[in-house]
Amino acid sequence: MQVLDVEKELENFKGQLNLLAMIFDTRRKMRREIYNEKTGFIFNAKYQFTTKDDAFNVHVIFQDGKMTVVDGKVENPNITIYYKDKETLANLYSKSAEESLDYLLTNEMGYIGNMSYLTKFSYLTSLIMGAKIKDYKGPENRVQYPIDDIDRGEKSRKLKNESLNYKVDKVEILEDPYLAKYSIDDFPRIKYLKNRRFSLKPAICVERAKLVTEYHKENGFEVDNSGNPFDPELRQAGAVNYIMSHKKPIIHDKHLIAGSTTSKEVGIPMYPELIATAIWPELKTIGERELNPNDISDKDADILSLEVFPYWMERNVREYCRTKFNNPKSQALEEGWLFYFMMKTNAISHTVPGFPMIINEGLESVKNKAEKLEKEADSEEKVNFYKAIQIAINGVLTYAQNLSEEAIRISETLDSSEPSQAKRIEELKEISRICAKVPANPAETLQEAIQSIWTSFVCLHCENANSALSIGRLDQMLQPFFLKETEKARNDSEKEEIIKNAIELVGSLFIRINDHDPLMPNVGWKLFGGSSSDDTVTVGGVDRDGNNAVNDMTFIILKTNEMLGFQDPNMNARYYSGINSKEYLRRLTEVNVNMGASPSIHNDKTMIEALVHEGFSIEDARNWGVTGCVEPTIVGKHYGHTNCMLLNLVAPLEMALNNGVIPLTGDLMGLETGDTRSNFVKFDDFLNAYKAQLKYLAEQSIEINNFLGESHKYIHPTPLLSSFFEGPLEKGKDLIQGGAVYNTSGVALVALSDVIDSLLVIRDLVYNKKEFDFATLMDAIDNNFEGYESILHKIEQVPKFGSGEDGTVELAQEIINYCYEIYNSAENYRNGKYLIGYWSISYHTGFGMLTGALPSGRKKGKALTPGLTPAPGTTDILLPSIQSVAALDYLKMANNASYNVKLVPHAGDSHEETLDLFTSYVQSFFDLNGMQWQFNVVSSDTLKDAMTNPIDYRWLLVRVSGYNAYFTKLNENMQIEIIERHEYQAR
Amino acid sequence: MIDKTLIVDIKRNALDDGPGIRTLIFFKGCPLSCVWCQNPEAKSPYLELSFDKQMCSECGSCIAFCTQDAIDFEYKFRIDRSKCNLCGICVENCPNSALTLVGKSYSIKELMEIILKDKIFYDNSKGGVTLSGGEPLYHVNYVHNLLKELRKANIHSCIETAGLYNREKFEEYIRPHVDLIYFDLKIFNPKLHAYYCKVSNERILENFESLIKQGVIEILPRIPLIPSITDTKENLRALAEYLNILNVKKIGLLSYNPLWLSKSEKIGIEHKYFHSEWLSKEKKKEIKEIFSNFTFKDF
Repeated sequence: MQVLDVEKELENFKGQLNLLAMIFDTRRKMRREIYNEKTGFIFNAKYQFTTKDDAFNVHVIFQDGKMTVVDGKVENPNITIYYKDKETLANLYSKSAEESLDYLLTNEMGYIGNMSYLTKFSYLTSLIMGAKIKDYKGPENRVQYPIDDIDRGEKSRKLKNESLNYKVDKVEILEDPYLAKYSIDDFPRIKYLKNRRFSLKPAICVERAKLVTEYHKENGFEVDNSGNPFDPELRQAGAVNYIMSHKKPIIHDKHLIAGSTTSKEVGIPMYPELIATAIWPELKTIGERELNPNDISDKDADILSLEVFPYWMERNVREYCRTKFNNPKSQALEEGWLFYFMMKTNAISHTVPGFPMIINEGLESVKNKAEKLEKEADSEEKVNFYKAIQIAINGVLTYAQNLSEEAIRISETLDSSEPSQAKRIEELKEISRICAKVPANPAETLQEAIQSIWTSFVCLHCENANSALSIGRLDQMLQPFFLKETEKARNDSEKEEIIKNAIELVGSLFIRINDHDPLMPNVGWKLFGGSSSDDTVTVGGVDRDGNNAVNDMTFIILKTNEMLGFQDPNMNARYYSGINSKEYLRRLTEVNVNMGASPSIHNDKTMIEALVHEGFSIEDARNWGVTGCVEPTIVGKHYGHTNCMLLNLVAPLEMALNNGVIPLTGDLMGLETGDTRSNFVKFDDFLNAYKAQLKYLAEQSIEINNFLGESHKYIHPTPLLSSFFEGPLEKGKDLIQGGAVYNTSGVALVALSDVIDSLLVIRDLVYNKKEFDFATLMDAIDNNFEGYESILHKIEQVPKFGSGEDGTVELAQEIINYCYEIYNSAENYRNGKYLIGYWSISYHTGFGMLTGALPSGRKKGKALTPGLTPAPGTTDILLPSIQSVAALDYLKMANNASYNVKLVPHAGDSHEETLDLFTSYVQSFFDLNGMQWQFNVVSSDTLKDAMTNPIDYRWLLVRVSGYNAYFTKLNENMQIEIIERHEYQAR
Repeated sequence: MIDKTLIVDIKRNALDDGPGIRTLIFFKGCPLSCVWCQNPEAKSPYLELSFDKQMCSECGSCIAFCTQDAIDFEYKFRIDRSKCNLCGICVENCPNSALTLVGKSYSIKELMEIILKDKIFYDNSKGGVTLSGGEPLYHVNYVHNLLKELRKANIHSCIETAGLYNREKFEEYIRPHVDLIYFDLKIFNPKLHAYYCKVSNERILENFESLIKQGVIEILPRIPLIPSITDTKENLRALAEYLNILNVKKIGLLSYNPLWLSKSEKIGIEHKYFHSEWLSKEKKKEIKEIFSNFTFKDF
């Protein structure tokens, strides 16, 4: 092995910086990145490069288009980039620029200061290293796979359908609620559009980023054009109006629903006021990256780098928070990656807007209400807010009008003498009529209702990032329109047509919902990823009065979902045992068997009780829909940022084991609670140390969430979203100010099972049986159990959470109670409560990568356990696992808990027998008060095959934790985690 | 009244031995000695020491701890069972769980506690409890009491029997309390039956006929398909004809599982029957044809 000459490499590093400086001097194209005559942007900045031990210091100054490199320290740098030590710096500096964020993860590198300066610098380095966009000029999406090839893997996906020859629940029309006779081949339009969606490579759309920047450059941000402080509500409303009025109205060929979230057929919208600048280092390479590449053209990359990003380097939620709250420790912890993840730097969005109100009353009536209230308002703040609502709604109305005109424009390009084009002309005329009507006015037909939802959805995304802004209870919204249409049927065949039309319309909406992907830096995919925007649809359950709410549309939506096999919308079903029929539960199970991992099934009874326990009225609690992964939100009344944070419960365990030090970095991050090698006489002493660390971390997470919330109030208020809610108009306050009726924040606690198992091992082996002392256990952990096999063997014998053995559930409950206590005593920045849940998106894999070996016997770097699922290998029998999870107090987890079960049908079982069995597991789990059940009906052998032959399994859906994902789009660690989950053979 | 008996194993979430989700209880002791026996550890009614070579790391701690000098690396199957007094000290001290005691004594109360844990699953899946073995009817009094408890708790019960039992006792203590019988029919020819199972099938068939004629409870005759022994054309045809005459419509066919072999060595018995393959497709087809008049679950 070649020995690295550290000093020489450090000289080379400085040499490279000097080269960069020279390039800015000599190449105009490069100089515009720091001195742009066209935009007037001058990049004046100070960078400090250093090592943690302060042994090496060099700094860089950008001043009026000149870059200089100087030894030593500079005062007040915009950012200090520090490396673990000199060796690390010598090793890393020449690595490719887009990897720079990866080193933050492994803590080989860190920074203090503004993160945008880091990403910009990485981008500049990528340019001198020759990063180039290959073969894409835009603007169309490229076809990745031939459309005909899409169904290749579907051969192995044989849908099996039972039929039902009687009506159940509140079904009025469907003679067979299971709709067994239909397949996707009966819907050629949907089939084609589905395949087309799968064949396109998503492209980054700069439209919104460009418009929002243009607007603010023109009208100001901090101050308006007359030099007065710009009221954030008015500023935001103006920006959102500008985006909606100027965004291109698009009606894609063959589609029945008009409008698109981006200017691309499949696009990634950008929100530079949130995290968009994180993508800066990858602008030239994102099209070629291994995991989920996105196309971008040179022109668009330049727009972002030269016009958009420079404007937002300070004006984003993360940096505003850092400055306003003076670089808080709670933010540094967040940027340490393994303690907690705060969604607010990316988005809030997570909610269910009041779409029912909009389709039934129309936005025009909301606007009129705001206009009236403006006149009666008693403060300038309120006046501005009501004005803002009107400005924002006007943007929606303009966009809808533009769509209406676009439909006519396209129809005029078609030839009415061609029969197929004549048919399309008719469709376009209908689309035009509908867009002229909704969402301004109440919808009267099924298509109008769906268009009203979609236009609203698109416009809300002009304001709010595409992060789990959810549709809500679609079956409840659409059923009245469906019934009204079937009234028109004069005979059975007309009724049949109406049913088919309803399926096609729901399918059209679902295809539209798939028109966008979230922006994700490479490091995000590597660590986490696989998640879509998680636009969730909820069906079933009970209505506000507690009556059965499962209806015709419930079954139509399930059928459509099953035929399409899409990841989105993330489908969630509520099941109220004793009120909803067993046949409905059986159908939910069947869709899971066919789709592999969807829908997730919620126990309506426990969820409603948990919400009531948190102070929601019983009627409102019954009207909950899922947001994002699994979290409950009261439709149109509840702003509950349901995934405001994901907190790693294992991090405080590592800190308790190491007296506050986190092993990944060796830094003291937590409290000094004592040395495990000498300080803990009793198990309870150690348990208290864990609780102290946990409390500390939780309090830090609450602080930063509230800081980020305050930052949103200034940087990113939401007048448009507010107009879709009950509360803001009445109170005269934006949602972000606490305008909604309910104002909670939702927390997800990750990897409870790993903590409980570790505590059980310590209690049993170190304290009760005294098999070895704590010091020996720590040695084993520090050595990742290598050379400590006999200890590992003893650890394996300890009954863990999920085994059903005495004391396991009790300890889990004790920690849950403790977490509840901490969060329940806090208040968020909107004067609301914190609700906690146990689910993990994919963070159990990400956090696991950064976590050392654990007392539970889990090895270093391995994934932690998803959601509330017991660790793999804990029990061979499904029943104690089900019983253990169901035994936990659901009243203490109102933000829901996900229990993920990998079940494989027995080869010898008929479809009917499989459904009998699977349905009885779910029913039993719910009878025992379990909260939520997620299937993975796919064998490890299939998954392994999919890793080897991804092409054949492009559409294989798996349930990660909360959300489902295309298996082949996941990173390798996540794929392995899912394969290694305990597979319960049905034999 | 016997209040405790030896149980080999309790399997929760059992799905192959009766309808729905069940708890399966393996009793210890069986009057037959079938050469292919799939549960050899349930043959003897007494406690046994089992040794799993695969899990052993040859650390020697069992040898060191044994007070009877009954264990040695040199012994065939590791243990001299004539010396072993089943004290269990070696089991406690084995770091790899390679040594275990087969058979644990359970009172009916203890058994019911375990059974009742999963009541909700039985209810939702129309499942229940299946008594298997060994031969559960070897323990008539115990089983009688257990069945009464199950009935009291409203739990469906099933007995898997080889059919060699005392009919009078069965009629008095078992039949009124059980819901379903899985009745094994192995070999029709009495001589071959005696040869392979070490007992005649005369009483077994009489018991079976009596149950069928009564028609009071549900009976499912099950035929284990043992290559070259029970799955011969002659045997299966004879059984099919026999069942036809008795007007039986529904049967169970049990596919041979070649993985059982290692089990007998663990308790120190040399296996005499060896067949390492699963049923071939052709053979399956042939068997299905023989039983084409019957309904049976795919095997």
